[in-house]
Amino acid sequence: MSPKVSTRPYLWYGMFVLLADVGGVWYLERRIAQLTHRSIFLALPLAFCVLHLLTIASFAVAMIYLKRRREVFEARAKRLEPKLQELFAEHAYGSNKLSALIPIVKTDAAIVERYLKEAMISVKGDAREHLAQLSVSLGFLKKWKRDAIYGNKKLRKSAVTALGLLPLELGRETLQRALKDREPEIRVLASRALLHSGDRDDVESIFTFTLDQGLRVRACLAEDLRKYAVQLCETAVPKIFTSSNPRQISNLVEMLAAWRRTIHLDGWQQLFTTSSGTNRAALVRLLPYLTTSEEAESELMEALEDPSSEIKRAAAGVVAYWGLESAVPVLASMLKDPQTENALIAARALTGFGVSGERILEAAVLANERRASGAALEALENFNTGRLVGTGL
Amino acid sequence: MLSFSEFSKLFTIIEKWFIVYVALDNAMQFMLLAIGYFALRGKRGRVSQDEVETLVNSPLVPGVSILAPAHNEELTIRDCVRSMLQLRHPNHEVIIINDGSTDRTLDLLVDEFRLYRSSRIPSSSLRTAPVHAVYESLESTRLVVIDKENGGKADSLNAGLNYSRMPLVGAVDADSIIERDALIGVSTPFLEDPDNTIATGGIVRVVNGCSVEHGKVQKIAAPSSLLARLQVVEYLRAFLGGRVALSYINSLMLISGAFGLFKRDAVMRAGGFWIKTVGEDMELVIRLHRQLTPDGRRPKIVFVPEPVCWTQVPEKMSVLKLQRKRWQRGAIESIFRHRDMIGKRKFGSLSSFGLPYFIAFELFGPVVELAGYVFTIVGLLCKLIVPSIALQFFVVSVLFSLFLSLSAIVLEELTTRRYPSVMDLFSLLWAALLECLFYRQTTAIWRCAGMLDFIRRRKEWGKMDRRSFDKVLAAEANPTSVPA
Repeated sequence: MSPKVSTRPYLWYGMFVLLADVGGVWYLERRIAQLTHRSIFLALPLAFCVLHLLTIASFAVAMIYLKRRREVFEARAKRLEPKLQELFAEHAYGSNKLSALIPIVKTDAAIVERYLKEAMISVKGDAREHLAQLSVSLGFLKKWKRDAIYGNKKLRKSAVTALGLLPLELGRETLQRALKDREPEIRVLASRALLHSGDRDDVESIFTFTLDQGLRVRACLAEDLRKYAVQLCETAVPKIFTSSNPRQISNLVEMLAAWRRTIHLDGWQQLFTTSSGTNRAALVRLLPYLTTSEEAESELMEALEDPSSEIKRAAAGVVAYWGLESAVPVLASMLKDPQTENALIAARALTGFGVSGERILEAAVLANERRASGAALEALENFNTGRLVGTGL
Repeated sequence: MLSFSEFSKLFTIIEKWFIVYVALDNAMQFMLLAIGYFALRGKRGRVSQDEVETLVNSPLVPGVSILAPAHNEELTIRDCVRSMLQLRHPNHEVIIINDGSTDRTLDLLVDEFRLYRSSRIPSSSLRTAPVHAVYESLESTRLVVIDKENGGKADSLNAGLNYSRMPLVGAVDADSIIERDALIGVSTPFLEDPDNTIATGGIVRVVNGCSVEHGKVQKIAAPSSLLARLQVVEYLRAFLGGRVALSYINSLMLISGAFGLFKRDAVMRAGGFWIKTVGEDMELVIRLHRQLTPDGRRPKIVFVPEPVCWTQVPEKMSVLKLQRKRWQRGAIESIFRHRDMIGKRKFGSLSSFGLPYFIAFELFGPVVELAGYVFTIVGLLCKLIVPSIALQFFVVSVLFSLFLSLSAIVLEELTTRRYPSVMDLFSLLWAALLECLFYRQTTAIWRCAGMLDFIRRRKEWGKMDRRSFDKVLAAEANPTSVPA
């Protein structure tokens, strides 16, 4: 979900470049035609090439100049680094260094800004508060607010990161606006800033916001939201579970599974009966974090014999995790499943049942069924060599 | 027999068509470059280092099986496997397919990674040359080695597909080095649009000149060998100009075999890699364009300009010649097999622009170019072309080519900025100038020879000249000390 961006400025810019280009080629073509054979075939392409070559050559020169300038900047930053670090450290711990910093800001604002951000990252509590006030006094807050909205991607990112280090009341509005940024990374940064410094309402709104985002944003924020799992399971999660948006429910189940922590959730049985396909498979994977084996046994046994391979495989993993002995015969028959991946999952699950599982697998190895014996042998070998982790099944 | 006046008339007609062709070709390239520029500058969703740090630990990132066919790669295999194992990704496995090597490739792997014969079974059944054994490693649970009879690269990739277990499969060359965060970067389109994206490819860069230690590129520099430097410019032009633009309009036909990522089930549905071509990477990508997503839309095949795969390029003309002939042959085989897609509306911009453009200007480009030189010489000898006009025409072609090469270098500097030193930049600009004066013409001859090979139905791969990465470094430091 990315916000709409006005294309009008780009159109004007494009039209201006095109007009300048056509005008330049036309002018050069006339000059070249006067000088040479007046050939329409060649004067035009020659003019085109000369103009563009000159343009690109000037780009190349500018590029070399910028590269050199960056080198000079880095060298200067390196020289100023110890002094700035010392000043920031002293300011962070109570001694006001504003007057010493103002002259440096006048000549090297970008370098001061860089090391001020670094300093804010490295401290917490009162020390960070002092540095935040310093950033306001030095005029960086205004700059960051402006950059977070109007800057290019690099500037927006840097500004949102910096605003996330300040007390929330200084940058809340801008951060909330950044949640609508077209760059996923900036949305992630803004969400993080609001999560870490915000209140309960902020956490819930960021959680709901995340569930509406693409997989990339969800993957980035899953771990950050994990810290608020208890709070979210009390309020936001039940609300979403009862919503009628299947996509949001699916994203929610996926998020809960990604947290990998025990959560309390009333009414999961109801969702289990109403969900289908991928959602149900995700719910099955979530069961160990939701409930006990006794409570979920009937649902699991049903899932093990579901026609959908995805649900079946998810259930096989869970019964093995819980060591549900009643599932062993079903897993033994799943070992002969025509789909190799199902057979492999069943074999892998059986290794979780200790001696009884191993016996079934050994019998399958000796039996005359190629797929089952192959899957059983692989599972036994992986179990004995400790390779069961990370096979992706 | 034609009279001179008839010949002159015919000559004038051909000349006009020739000029139209050249103008169209240049206009297309200019357009692609412009699209590439805007696509790169406005590119959303590049993965930053902070994001990589989060994603490498996220359980929501889909797993990847990296498939690397290896045939007689004893000089580079250990470094490459190390580099693949060091890739940062929450869930990836590395499958090396030893394609009937006659050197010590397998022995080195067994010793270095403490391989043992494993019972891993295939989870699908694409037909391949017989597999002798599957090995897994006591040192790393991520490594699997398949030892099979020689069947070619496509056959090896199919064998790897059979034994892979992850939802995404990456096809890479066993003589390449992939940057540590590149796998996450190239997976990003699958995170952004998981339903529609079925394949992605990363940029391939030239490792000659860079220093490599323990499977990792430590210092990036332009190569000292002129031939390698010319190829740096050529690669930049191909990747940052053409592929970015073609990806932008979803007409990408080639994901380099050195570094591509595919949805496993999409590749399986398509029937795996086609073994009867040397251009299996291009053929598969075109075939994937035929598939539709569950909601009936065309799938997305995306080029990601930032993730980097480093590869050795030939520093000998004879080896480069073989490579270019093979590439051309592979491209023709792939296009010829899918010629029925041209003009069909359901394939969108690929059939209306991508394929026709590729056939007209990429496949037949070298033929027209060489014909143009012959035509000009004949015209000059018969006094049908004014020498100054011919000279101007040549100058225009060279200038335009130079413009394209310089633009690619500028694009590189504006976006990824990989070459840190100003001197490297100068040496690349110099190479860009030389590239359009003799290199381009030479490769055009080789590509024509590749077309002849296709007509003669030649199938051989040709022997590549490999050096260990340490030796590449040593050769760069002291060019005279390395044996030929």
